[in-house]
Amino acid sequence: MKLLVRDLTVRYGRTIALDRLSLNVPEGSVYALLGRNGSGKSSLMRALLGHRKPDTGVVEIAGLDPWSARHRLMTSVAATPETPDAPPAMQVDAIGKFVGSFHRRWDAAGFRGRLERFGISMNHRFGALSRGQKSLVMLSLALAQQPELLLLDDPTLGLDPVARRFVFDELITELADRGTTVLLTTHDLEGIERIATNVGILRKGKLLVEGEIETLRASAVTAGSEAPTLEALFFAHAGSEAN
Amino acid sequence: MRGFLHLVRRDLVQRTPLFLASLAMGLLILALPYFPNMRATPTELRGAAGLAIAFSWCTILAILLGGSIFTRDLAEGRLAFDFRLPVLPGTIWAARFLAANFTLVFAAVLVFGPPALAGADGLGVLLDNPLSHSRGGGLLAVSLLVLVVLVVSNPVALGSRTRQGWLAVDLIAFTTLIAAAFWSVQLLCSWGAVATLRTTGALLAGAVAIAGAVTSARQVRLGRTEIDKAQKALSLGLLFSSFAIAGSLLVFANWLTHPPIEALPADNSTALGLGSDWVVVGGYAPRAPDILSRFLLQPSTGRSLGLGPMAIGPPSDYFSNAGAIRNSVVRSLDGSTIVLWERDPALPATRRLHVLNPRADALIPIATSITAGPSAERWALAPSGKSIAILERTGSPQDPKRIVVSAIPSGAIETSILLTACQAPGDLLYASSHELFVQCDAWPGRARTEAERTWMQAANGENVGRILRINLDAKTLASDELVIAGKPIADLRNLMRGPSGWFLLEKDPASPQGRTLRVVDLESGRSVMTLTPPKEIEPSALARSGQLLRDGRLAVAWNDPGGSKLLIFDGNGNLKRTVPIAEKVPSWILAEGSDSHLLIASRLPGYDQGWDVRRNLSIVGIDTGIVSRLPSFFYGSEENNRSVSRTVLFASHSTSQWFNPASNTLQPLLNGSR
Repeated sequence: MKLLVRDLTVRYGRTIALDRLSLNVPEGSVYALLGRNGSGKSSLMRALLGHRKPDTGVVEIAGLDPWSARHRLMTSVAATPETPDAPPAMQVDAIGKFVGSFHRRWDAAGFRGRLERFGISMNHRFGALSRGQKSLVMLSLALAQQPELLLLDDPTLGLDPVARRFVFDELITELADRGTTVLLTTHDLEGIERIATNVGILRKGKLLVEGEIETLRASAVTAGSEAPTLEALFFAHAGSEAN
Repeated sequence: MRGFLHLVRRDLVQRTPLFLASLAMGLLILALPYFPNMRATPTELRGAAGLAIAFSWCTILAILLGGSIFTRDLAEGRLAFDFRLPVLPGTIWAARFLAANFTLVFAAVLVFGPPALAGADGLGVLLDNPLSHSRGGGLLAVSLLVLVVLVVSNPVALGSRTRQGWLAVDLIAFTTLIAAAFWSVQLLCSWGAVATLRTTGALLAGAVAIAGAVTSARQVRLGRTEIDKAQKALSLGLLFSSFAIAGSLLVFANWLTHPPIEALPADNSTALGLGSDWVVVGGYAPRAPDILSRFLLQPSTGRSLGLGPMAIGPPSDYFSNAGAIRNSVVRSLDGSTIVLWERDPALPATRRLHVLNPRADALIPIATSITAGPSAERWALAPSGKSIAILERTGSPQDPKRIVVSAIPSGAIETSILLTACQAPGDLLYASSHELFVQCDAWPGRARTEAERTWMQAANGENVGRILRINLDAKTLASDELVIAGKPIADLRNLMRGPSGWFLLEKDPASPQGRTLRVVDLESGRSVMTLTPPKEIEPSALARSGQLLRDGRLAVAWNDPGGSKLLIFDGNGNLKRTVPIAEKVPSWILAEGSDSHLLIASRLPGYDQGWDVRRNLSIVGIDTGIVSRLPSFFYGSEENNRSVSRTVLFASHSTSQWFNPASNTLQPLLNGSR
């Protein structure tokens, strides 16, 4: 599914969250958007999901504007929020049935299977789950929709190492099965390195660098050194400010 | 639609605990009669408790639901869950809003249902609310109230969550709406429009409910998952809505209270003559059936002026609209001035005198400094319109009353006389610009509307009691017995109408032994005619049924058992013509038309002597003796009795008719219809 972001600017009052941002997300790629806190990753997600109208610039998914055609896009776009937001009083099973009732390609068996693998009971109220379990439920909901585009806003935030592995394993399986385009933001550089094909690094709303991860690594190789890790690439670009 | 239903179902299922609590309350009410020390009957107890608890519970729920319907999820970041579903923002809003309303309805049914099924008295009270005057009105009012609480709770909750400058915008919106509502309530109350006020209040509540719903939809559509954006969308929407509602309310209240004269129904309006061709018309326009609208109208030209809300209480404290209208607007005898008593917004229970020039191009009432408070009882306007006499109490009802004559428009007091010689002063009359008559010792208990006819009775030769005569030039007071019916001709002193003022018909002092009478112009004091009536004519009948005409002749409607006839005396008092009018029924002169024609009314054979029974009308040519019949009428209304230049109005064939003296024809006064 084609995703276009060109000269996107998002402001909060006088604060510029995204400053004329342009992204190139190839179809079928796993695009990891990296950046420090406050770099504008979540603002981009909101704009892509049609939750926020861009101040200027163009955002298109499959040729449609997410702000005005969000309801149509959401049939083929799934997303997980940074903070799990399903109704806390509903049981996990009921949440699955509820979300599934909106999607024709809903994979009920896949939803139950993932939760079983995660060890999450279907009868628990969502609000009674741990932070990590909630994130896994949200990921399961997104994957069960069998989307063409998957937007993941820091899906491993607050997860323990085991749960993190679950997340990436599920993503790898999904990608192997369906070839979904994935745009995700994360601070888990080690984990994402396993699955990301493309990477973009944001700082203060501006894209510092973008490209295929292997190309970026190769271009950073200097004489006599090995190809840098994603973490090294990130620190080379976004981490310098901290010093 | 499928997504909408799924969303509604989800919200309702999530509120299952609320429904269970509501049902528990309903069962508790059902069991109330079995509690100890309950004195009311089971049906009364269940009805009263059911209504009270259902209303209270629904109000509390409306506050809770209104505050959480969007705001809680928005503030806690959970509204994005719905926005990741393939549904429109409007669907999300509609589903949540409808689910909240369903919740309120279900909760009310669950609370009041069990006691209603078991027999409760309250439901009838709810359906037949005496304030609503309509079946189901009470239920509608309560539902509207709860709906308003629901929609208003949303911005309150959102404002409390955001704590930002948009609260100032919300405050402006709220203040604007309250100010407009307050102004409208005051306006409608000043017109005494209780029923219209109730309708307007319901419309306002409906508008607020719709505006609240629409702005919350705008909040969801534009703000989506971001609370700051949502607050902005909501506050701007509320500001725009409040301006729109406030403006509409002001326009609507003004539209209700200021209908055009064409809106008055011709078949249900009161019209009273002010003399010449001016009338004051009062009626109820269909748009506001409880607002009495009054207009000054000049039928010959169609010029009109809408008057303000009628002042109730002295000096227009009458029990009928006609009496009140009549006593609130008067035209001076010379036609130069029309005065109006209008409410004074700054002084409760006080009327302020306004004055206007009916001959000016624009009819603009000008407020004077003359006011009349509750102590004012009667008043009269000078023939020139330059002064006004007001009879007022000075203390307790037993204390002597005072006549105060004030200049118009300055309000300067020209004369102030304490009426110590008269315990119960009655009506006032400017006999001329030099003399004011005050009826004294009127019958105790006499209806005020009857007292209003005092001078008509005086003109008809009836005993109206002792008359106090105030010389306005010398500022002195004299007592006189002006009119004593049935006295010998030597004592005859009657008031008589003339074309431009009042005249006195009395025994001619130059002929003490004969039957000669003279007619004295009270303005100039000069004798304008002497006449010796035929023996068969009672002298006082000349005053009762006579009218001096513009050309100096005297016309008298003479009635005897055989019928009625018109007697015409020339300027020298000689009987020149007798015109038979009707057989076996009395007639009387109503008005002088043009080209020596008189408008005459005759009683129909067999009809009672009432004021509002059917009459026959005729136009009589004085010079030709030709009697032309006009359509009969039901109600003949004369002008204010302080005026002598008549305007005659009729109600005929469901239409107010005006006698146009210029053409000697009847013309419709109003064209409106229900």
